Amino acid sequence: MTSYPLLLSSLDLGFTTLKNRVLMGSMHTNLEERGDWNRVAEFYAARARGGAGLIVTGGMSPNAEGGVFPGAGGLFTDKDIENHQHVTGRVHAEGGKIVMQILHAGRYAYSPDCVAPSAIKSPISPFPPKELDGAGIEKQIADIVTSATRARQAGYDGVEIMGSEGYFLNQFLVTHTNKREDEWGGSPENRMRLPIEVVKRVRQAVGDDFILIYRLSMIDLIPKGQNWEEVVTLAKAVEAAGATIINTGIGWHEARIPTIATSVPRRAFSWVTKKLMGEVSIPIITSNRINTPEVGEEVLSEGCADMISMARPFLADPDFVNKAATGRSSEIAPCIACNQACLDHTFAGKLTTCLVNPQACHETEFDASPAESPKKIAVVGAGPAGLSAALTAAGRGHWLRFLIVLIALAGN
Amino acid sequence: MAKQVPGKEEFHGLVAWYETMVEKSSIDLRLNTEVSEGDLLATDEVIIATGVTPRDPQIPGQDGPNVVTYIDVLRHGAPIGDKVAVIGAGGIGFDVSEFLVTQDSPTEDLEAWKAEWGVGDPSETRGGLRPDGAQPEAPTRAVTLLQRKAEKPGRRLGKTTGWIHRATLQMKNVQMVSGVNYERIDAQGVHVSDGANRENLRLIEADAIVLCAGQVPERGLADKLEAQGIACHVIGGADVAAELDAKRAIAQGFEIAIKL
Ligand SMILES: Cc1cc2nc3c(=O)[nH]c(=O)nc-3n(C[C@H](O)[C@H](O)[C@H](O)COP(=O)(O)OP(=O)(O)OC[C@H]3O[C@@H](n4cnc5c(N)ncnc54)[C@H](O)[C@@H]3O)c2cc1C
Ligand SMILES: Cc1cc2nc3c(=O)[nH]c(=O)nc-3n(C[C@H](O)[C@H](O)[C@H](O)COP(=O)(O)O)c2cc1C
Ligand code: SF4
Repeated sequence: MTSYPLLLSSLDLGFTTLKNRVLMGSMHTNLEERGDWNRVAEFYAARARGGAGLIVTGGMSPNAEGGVFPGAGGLFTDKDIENHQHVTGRVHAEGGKIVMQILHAGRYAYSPDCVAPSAIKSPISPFPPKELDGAGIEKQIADIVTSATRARQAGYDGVEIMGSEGYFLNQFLVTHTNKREDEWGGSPENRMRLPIEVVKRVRQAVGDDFILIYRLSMIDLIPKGQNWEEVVTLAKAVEAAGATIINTGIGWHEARIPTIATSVPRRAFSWVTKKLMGEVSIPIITSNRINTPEVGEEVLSEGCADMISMARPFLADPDFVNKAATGRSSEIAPCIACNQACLDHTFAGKLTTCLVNPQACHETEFDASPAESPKKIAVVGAGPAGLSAALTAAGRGHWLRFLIVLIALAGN
Repeated sequence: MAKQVPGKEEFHGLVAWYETMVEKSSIDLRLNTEVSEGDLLATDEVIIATGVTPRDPQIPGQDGPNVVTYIDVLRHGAPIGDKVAVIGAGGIGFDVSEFLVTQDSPTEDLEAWKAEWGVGDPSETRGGLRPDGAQPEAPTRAVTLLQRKAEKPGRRLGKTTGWIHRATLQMKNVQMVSGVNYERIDAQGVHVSDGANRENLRLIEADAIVLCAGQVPERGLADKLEAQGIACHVIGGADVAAELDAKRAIAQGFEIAIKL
């Protein structure tokens, strides 16, 4: 008997089956750019071992102009493919499945070479983008397709095409960023052409038995964003073009509404995904601020989605799913949505880690294995520092005397 | 204390997790125990994680009955009047201000949160923005947030979250004043002046003044041990008192413990 029957049920995709309804959402950790592929592999392998049904990598660039910053990782050379094979091999050895996210940043690329549907600078970037001509757009599509075929060569089980958060494909969808008058702009139909073409051509290139997730912006949270009719039309077209799964994206980066911070209520946007349920026949994933198995189960049982995504909770605890499945939910280290060690780090160009779990992205750096000779240790003060030291030491088999004074267990 | 702040409810979960993990471990937990040096002599390693104490801002008049600290407000629920001056616009000053202007946390009520930020239905308006914009609840108190540094208040808050805290306080009409000297406190409020030349002396009227003027390491025990030649590892706020820094505290605790 499990207490999360929906969360832990399998999901049949036809050519393959996911063992549960939990997706580890995409996070660009800056690990790939460091070049230590054993470390990258162990980061993902630990999450596969911990039971994630499907893992999505951080956003990889399809080409230089589409990278989130200059030098951002991607599958550009045979060497890159070989490096990523290391990752997919280790994940598969742990019984996991992993897809690579292809993220073209468009005008959000932190580079003077950034490109976009129209030459309109984003309020959160110093660089005005160059407007692409028809051939330029064809090149972007071709690069995304190439990236997907290389992902297949690298052993990935599929790709996720990033179409939300105000990135390149999202920029074509709305008049806020797309003022074109050719076949890629103007009417809603024309504005949707690019994402649909991308999905269609990727599907043609990778074959039928390859997972293709499209991350679709369901609520842009910016003026002149998409309306619901356009969202539904796009979702149907993406399905027809060959997507296996639709994932939810919430808000553009430039939106003035918080979407993932700790003050955002849990599962604050599952109602948006729910509106799309029944409109398409492929599975739909919901996302943002789901951080306990209870909340995940609730979202599924209310019919808000077929599967849930959790990104940051997998930094806080790689074993989230296994603990939930074995009656140890209360032992899951919670993601408090502080962003202090993950998104704040990513945006500062630093390596992502986690406030609650300093081992995140440092899986191969720290050795917390049992101590050779146990010691008696006293820790004075049961704030976060003392608790972290005491629990880590106790986990290593040290004999611990742990003394504290105040009533408030977690200090400040 | 962090968990008392509206919008920081997730800290409850963290505390509960620590409780569970301590319970399931071999740790001999002694609550409400004031530690003496003798207790510590019988061990192989001593880790001091005694945290921080509030910094004394040394403002004339700070001993008055209208002055409290963030600890009085958040931990002890001290009664606070309607017109408040918060001294110090670091992370804690922001948190205390949010606490003082908020009745019910919108984080606990999705519809209230959506109204607060102007989230509507994409079936009705493009982008899912409410046509009438953000509709925040009226502030429960009039708060002025003061800081000494002549920089944008909240500049040192989290890179991806600082703007949220600033926007929240702006929606609650919190007045933010930076670059001031605290001249003195009296029954009317805080008297401040501007800049190095202490110009523009004026009164910020308030019936309550809350001190959030930084923190210093609590090293009492560590110093005593060191004086007796007992080696100890000092970690967390007791080592460096930077404001909102549980991240450093936890990482340091972890790193010490894997080396022992
Ligand atoms: C309102 C507020 C909001 C905050 N929000 C955040 C946030 O969002 N993000 C963040 O990273 N940080 C936040 N912090 C800061 C964070 O709480 C501190 O950085 C962290 O608590 C420091 O951890 P610590 O373990 O070093 O010390 P503390 O948490 O201060 O714990 C020290 C403990 O030691 C005990 N002690 C002291 N002397 C003795 C003795 N002689 N014997 C036994 N026990 C003793 C104390 O009673 C206390 O329980 C916040 C703080 C406050 C006040
Ligand atoms: C450090 C970090 C990096 C992220 N990078 C990406 C990315 O590359 N691509 C993407 O689609 N989403 C990215 N996201 C967004 C997450 O996929 C997810 O939507 C968001 O964190 C909210 O979900 P959560 O509450 O489960 O974490 C990132 C989030 C974080 C915290
Ligand atoms: S750093 Fe904070 S937000 Fe990021 S994963 Fe850890 S707990 Fe969650």
